[in-house]
Amino acid sequence: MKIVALGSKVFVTGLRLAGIEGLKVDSSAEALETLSKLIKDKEVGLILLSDDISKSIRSKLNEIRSKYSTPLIYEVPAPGSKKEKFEYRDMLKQILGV
Amino acid sequence: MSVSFGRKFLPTKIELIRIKRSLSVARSVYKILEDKREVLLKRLDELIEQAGAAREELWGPLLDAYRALFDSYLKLGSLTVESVAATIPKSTEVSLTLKRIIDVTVPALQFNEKSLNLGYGFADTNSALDEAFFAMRRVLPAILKAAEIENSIFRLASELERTQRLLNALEFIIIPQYEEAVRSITSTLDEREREDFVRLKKIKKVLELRKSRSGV
Repeated sequence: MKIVALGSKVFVTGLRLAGIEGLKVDSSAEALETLSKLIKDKEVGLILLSDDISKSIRSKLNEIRSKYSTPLIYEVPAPGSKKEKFEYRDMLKQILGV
Repeated sequence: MSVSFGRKFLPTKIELIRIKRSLSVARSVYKILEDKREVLLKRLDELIEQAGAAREELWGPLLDAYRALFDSYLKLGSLTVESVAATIPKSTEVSLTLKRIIDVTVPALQFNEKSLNLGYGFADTNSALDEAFFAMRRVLPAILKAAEIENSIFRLASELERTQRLLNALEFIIIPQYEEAVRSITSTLDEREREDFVRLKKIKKVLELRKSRSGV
């Protein structure tokens, strides 16, 4: 199955070097639109989102992720982003609605 | 076996037996689901630890890869880098298999990279691009691993939510309803028994009275 990268030009180019198909998206809305198309593609196994565009649509992403088991969606730190701790427990709380 | 909710239960002995049986089934299901929730929580806890570690591991190599990428951008210009990137075959693929943990399907990613030849000429590139190329590839397995763990968390969490919902339904609706039914049926039956008893006494009295009258 394919891996598809969604993100800025630099992000996509970087992953393109690793032999991954990339689609350049400029905004979160655009990313979401592309994402909803990719979900239906049976050939796509993993979608890598650059986290600078995914941050603002995280709740939407979580919704998609709990609805569809494939493809997997993963947020990769974007080029030039600061290191931050990813709060899985917060994420869990959000999914469980606690 | 079915008791439709919202309707009155027939106050009969057979219905009482049925409901009692359903009640004990509901209680044992509740216990099983409780155990399941415990296991899920424990597993989630482990996975969260792992996910944090995987992200941590990913960070260093990814940073290196980005640095190499920026370096090649600087040295070659965006036009060259991007056009070279566009010519690299999309050879990297994953195979996605599903495995089951405690009745939940979680994804498992397998990395199958076909070949690692540089898909570009050396004429208008330099070592900076090569470095970016290799660094990007090196970081991929870590990304896949982290993605796998993170998505497992999602799957387990939504299962946990489902289990919790079932538990709540059992605890607050189904089991109380059965208990209420048992209570109301038992009291109706008891009441009926007392009535019968009284009626019997009365009849006996009347019969005795009649007997003594006719005897006189």
